[in-house]
Amino acid sequence: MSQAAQLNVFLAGVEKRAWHMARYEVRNDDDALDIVQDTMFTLARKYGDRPVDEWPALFFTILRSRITDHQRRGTFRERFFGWARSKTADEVDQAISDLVDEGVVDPLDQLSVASDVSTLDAALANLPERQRQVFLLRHVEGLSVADTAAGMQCSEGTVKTHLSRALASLRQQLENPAS
Amino acid sequence: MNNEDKTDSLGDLARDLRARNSQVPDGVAERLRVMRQDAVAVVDKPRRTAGFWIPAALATSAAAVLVTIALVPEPGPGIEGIEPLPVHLAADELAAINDLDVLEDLEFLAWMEEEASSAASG
Repeated sequence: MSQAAQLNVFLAGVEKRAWHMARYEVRNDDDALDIVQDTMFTLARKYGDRPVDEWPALFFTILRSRITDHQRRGTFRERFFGWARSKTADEVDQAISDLVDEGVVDPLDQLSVASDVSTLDAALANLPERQRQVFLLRHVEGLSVADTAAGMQCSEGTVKTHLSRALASLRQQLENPAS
Repeated sequence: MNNEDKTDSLGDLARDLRARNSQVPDGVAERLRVMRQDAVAVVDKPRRTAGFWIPAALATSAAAVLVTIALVPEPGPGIEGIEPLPVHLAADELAAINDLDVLEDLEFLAWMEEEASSAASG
């Protein structure tokens, strides 16, 4: 199989979950798509000739970097140009839903939770960003501790610490979803 | 429920989440497919090596030189009524012009001396 065909298979297997992962952080479907697109192109252009088993760690390293860039740009825009524009009704609604997502679980949302996966999804949204990313890379993507550390650009010890805290928090939230 | 059971159930949930996150709306799936094809096409393109870039750089430099030559204006005529200086005069020719001036001065001085002596004798 050619390198391009292998890359196609790899990206096809990971692209949808990458979109979800980006969406957890940027909370916007189109922005998440832009981030995944940028990640795909960067992987293909810079690392397309690297061994296939290096791609997962490289892909998620790039993805995480692009998410961080996006958040920094958003923070910059908000800090320096936020005062210059008035918010539309949709933006106000989005801001309110973001506030709710940050930490407080709306009882109405709880009623709409149909399954344990949805509960886990909601619990993940309440985790700090790095704990959430470590959990997703390690347990959802199935990366090794070393690859997760490479993807997060931190030490393996830091990965274990974040993961331990994430698991404790998730367990606590899953046992008592209303808290 | 002990810790091991909790971890197992969390692992099961993570697997379910993985399966759930492998699904996206149709519109998103289509856009992802197009993006993937575009990205994979980048790998298919042959990389340009030094064998391409060196001749390309030489050709660009040659073109720049030609354009520069074409755009530099021809020296135009001088100010109306005044012939432009002949720029091809050599250094010794310029020196000869200076010598002529000196010679003219010497002739004038000799004439003055002659006049003065003839006035004295006359």
